[in-house]
Amino acid sequence: MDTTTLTLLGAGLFSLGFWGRSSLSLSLYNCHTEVRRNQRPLPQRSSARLDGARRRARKIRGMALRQIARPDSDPSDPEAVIKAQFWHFHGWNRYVIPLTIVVVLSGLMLAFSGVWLADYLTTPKDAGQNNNRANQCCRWTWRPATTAPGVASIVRRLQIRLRH
Amino acid sequence: MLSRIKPPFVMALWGAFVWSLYEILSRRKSGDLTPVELYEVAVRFVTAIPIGYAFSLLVFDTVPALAAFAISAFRSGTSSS
Repeated sequence: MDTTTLTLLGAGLFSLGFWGRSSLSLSLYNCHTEVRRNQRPLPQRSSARLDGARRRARKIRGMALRQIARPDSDPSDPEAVIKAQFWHFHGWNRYVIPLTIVVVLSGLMLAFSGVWLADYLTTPKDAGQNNNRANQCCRWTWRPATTAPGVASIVRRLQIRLRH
Repeated sequence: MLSRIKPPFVMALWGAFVWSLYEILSRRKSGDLTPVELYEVAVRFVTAIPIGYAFSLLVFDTVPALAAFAISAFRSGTSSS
């Protein structure tokens, strides 16, 4: 196991530890916060500060919560209740953070894979180990051709490389 | 430095990428793509390398990269499997 392998393993384990510790800290924080929140009286919020959109959203959310609390009641606007429930669980604010994480991780992964594949195909396997000039000649290097190598060429190089 | 990275690492990442693409597209088609699923995709990316490399050490010398790809792409313990 060389240094690179150990570095990558360490990075993976560090990431795992970071995720686990973050989740644990968040759970503990939520537990303590919820206990304290339940012990103190609810604050009185004034509705004068709320603008029109927020007031309407709060009204629809309140209707939805009342409907959830009393399923047998007859809501004044059933469609608004359904919409409120839908946007409560599928609003953009719930998607933006995980979507950003997925996009960033996918981009990093694809960039790394592309760079690694280019290096893998262009570096001779015995580079630095065999000084024989004939063996160093360029079965894996991109020859200065007039056209770029096609898919068949890349597949053939991969087959030859994996065979060794 | 890149030449020192073994193929199982990259194959594990590709396996996680294939799984995440399939999962997101299938859930988008069925209409149940939730934020929890996106977090699961992110976790799969993060855990692909250590788990894929660990499983690649368990198999013979001929197919470690394939084992890393398979364990990353078809790992159980997810909501889809």
